Amino acid sequence: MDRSTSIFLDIFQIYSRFCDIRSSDDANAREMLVELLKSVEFRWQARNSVFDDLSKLMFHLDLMVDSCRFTCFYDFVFFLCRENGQKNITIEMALAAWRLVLKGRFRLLNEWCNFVEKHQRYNISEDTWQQVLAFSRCVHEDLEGYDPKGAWPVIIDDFVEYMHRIRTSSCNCCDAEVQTCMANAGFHAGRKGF
Amino acid sequence: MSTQKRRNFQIEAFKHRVVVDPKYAEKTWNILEHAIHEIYNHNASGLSFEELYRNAYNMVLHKFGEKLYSGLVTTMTMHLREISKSIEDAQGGSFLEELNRKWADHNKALQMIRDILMYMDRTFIPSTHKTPVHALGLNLWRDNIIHSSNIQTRLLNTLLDLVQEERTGEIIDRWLVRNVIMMLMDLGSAVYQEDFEKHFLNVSANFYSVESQQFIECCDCGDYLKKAERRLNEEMERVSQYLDPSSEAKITNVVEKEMIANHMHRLVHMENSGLVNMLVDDKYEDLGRMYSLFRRVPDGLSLIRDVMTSHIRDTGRQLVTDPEKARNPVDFVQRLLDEKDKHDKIISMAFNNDKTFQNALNSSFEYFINLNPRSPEFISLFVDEKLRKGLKGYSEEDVEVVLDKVMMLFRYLQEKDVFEKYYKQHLAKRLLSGKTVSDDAERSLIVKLKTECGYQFTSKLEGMFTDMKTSQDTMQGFHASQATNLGDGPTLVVQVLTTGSWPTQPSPACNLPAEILGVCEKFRMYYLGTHTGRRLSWQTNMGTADLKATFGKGQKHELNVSTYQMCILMLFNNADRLSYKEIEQATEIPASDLKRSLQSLALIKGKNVLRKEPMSKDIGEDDAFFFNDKFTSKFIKLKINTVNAQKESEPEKQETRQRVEEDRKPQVEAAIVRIMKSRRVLDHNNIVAEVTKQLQSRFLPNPVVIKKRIESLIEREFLERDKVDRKLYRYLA
Repeated sequence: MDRSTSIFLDIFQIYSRFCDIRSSDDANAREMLVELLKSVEFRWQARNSVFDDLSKLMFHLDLMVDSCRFTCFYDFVFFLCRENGQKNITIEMALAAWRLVLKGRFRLLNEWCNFVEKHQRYNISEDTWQQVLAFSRCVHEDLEGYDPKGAWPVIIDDFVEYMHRIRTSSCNCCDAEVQTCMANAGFHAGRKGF
Repeated sequence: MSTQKRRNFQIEAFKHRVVVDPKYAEKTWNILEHAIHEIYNHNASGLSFEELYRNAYNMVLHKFGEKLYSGLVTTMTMHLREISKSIEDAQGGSFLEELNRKWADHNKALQMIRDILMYMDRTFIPSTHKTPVHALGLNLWRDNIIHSSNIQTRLLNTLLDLVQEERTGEIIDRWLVRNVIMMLMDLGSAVYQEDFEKHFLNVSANFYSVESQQFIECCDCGDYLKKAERRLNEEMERVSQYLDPSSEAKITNVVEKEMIANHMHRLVHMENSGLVNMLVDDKYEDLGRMYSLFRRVPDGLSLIRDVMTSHIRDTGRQLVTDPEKARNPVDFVQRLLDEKDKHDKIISMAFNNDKTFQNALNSSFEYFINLNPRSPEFISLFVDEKLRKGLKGYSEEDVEVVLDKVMMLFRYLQEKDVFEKYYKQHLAKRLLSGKTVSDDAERSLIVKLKTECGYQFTSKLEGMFTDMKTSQDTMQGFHASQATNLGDGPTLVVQVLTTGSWPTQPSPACNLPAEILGVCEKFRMYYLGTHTGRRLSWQTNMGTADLKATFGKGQKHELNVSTYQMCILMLFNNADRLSYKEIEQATEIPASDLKRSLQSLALIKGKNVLRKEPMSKDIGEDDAFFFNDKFTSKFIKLKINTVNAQKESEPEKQETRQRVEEDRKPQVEAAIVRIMKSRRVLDHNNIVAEVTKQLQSRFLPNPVVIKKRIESLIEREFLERDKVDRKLYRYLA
């Protein structure tokens, strides 16, 4: 009985455990996380069903206010998406997870996911995962806020370059339109950079 | 005696009536005034200095100093007015002469008057703060002569006209002008500056502004510079001949500004004769002149330097990016060296060995050499060519000169590791084929590379030399041990190469003929007998063989061929006709090598010991080969080269590039770890900068590559990102 409850910890319990371990300064935090992951491993036979639970969790957590809490949740998503204790997660998992958790938080979410789908060949590392959140927070739709010297992972640099390329090629054909917009109001002022 | 009774003695001055003749002052002054008249009239011989001096002395003593002084002023002024009139009356050319003569007279007179009035000069003048006699004389001359309205402009114009005449090539009386100028200086440098120099500089500026405009319209750059230089020298000579030395800097400044600074851009870029043309045509003299003239004006040298730099960069870029010129690597490098020599010579002959110019030259070379990614390969090929045959007959010093030049180009390379890669390949070929001209030259270059790049860079290269030496010893030992039972079999020479030191790629050994296989086996036994625990694998793609062949009419030839070719030829001992497929099956030589080997055996005129059917330029898979009975050659010994590309082919090039990129990864990672180990925490941009600094002696790491390595190190938990500042990395011990 005791054992079965530990197996069937629900998503809220796993999450609160995860948060506890993370916020504790325990030197063994790493091992504890590995333990935790092991114990919940076979809960989701089909990996994708993890997202149902995650969206349930998301619905109940009040994440909109506190960016710290969201970061913790965001890391938790990566944690749950790891298969068989691997360090990195596959692209499919990453894409599905991003689409779920960054919805409404990352203005370029669609573009980003399309880019990763098309151009990324390797799995997503934890560092990349975390940096995407940081990137989503500081970048604007027009890519302003991105600093090429900002120590972003190469994949994000590539993404920005890709976006610039698309934008300039599409800008050339709608030059006239942009100009009328500019004349109307300072609406496109942010685009001066192009 | 009481003290109160002390008396004060008073000594009264001796009073006697001083009889003053009321007319005394008037009388005495009249004597002195008369004397001054006589002095100005050149009639001083009858005057008694002693008497006059006493008179003046007495006047001052009797408090008539004021009268004496004002009398002097009046009298002298009167005389100067007369002089002024006579100077004004002088016609044309005699004006200056008259002025000069009168000035000399005045000076002489002034001297005498000062002597007579010396007592006044010494006592009366200092106590009343008046101008001393001599200065007074000069001031009066200035006010009455030089500043007289009829003289002032005339004098200035006369002087300026004379200068103008001299500038247009006429001879003038320099002595006279010099005296007049000295007069102006004697009157005070302010007079010289206000009444002459200021105007002189203005007029000169106009003159040179007009003249330089004319010159620049009609002269080419070289001529213009010659003219400017001459003008500059003329002006300096003028100053030394008849102007005050203080004017030199000012007038040269005017010439520099008008003739050089105002036109320097146009001069440098002048079509068909500007700086670029001078550089192209090695006009040392013109270039030297340009350097020394432009050095005088602000930004002059930097203009020359910039234009030279962009010219060298342009020609260099054309040189290294022209596919036609890249066809022959040796010529390509020779052109670079010639280009360098040419500009070195220009800098030393014309530009005074200016350090900043040398630096500009170096940075230009560094810029364009690296524009061509094949430069490292070509430089290595150049060395290869030189060490194979190019240096035959050179003296030791000449060899050093060539090698030093190569090292200089090497220094410009950013991708030194790529050079190393090719150098290793080429060196291996030289060593294995015994083609190197001079062991000393080889080693000398290695020493140079070592001093340039450190031990690590050359350790493998040195390993190759060691292997060659060891192999020689091994072979001696082998032959000595086999002396009895070798018999007539083929002689085997083996070079044992340490894996890792040599740029060998694992390639499957081909099937060797039985005769050879026997000796090979014997060697293997011998070698493994002395070195247990080693593994030998045969690199049949790298060997050569000497064969004796007898042709149709019984003529014998010695053929020097590759091991592959030897295997093919040996098959024809037992057959006259073999198809391509049969040869391929029997030898198991890789297809591309087999084709190349057959090509050189059957298709090279004069060396076609095989005959091919059908006769065509290429080797096809359905071709058949025959032993060429009718082969003849006037040489007994024949060397049959395998058709091998000297330069790398496109796929080979890409392979090498990829290997280089792979080799760089661990180097970049090692550098990152080294840096982080000592710094513990560092931000991204500093890591990139430090890694670049550490590695630039070998290659220029791409920042993206560095970033990828950092990401990989984070993934492998050597580093982590700082929780707060995501641009900071921490080293995880």
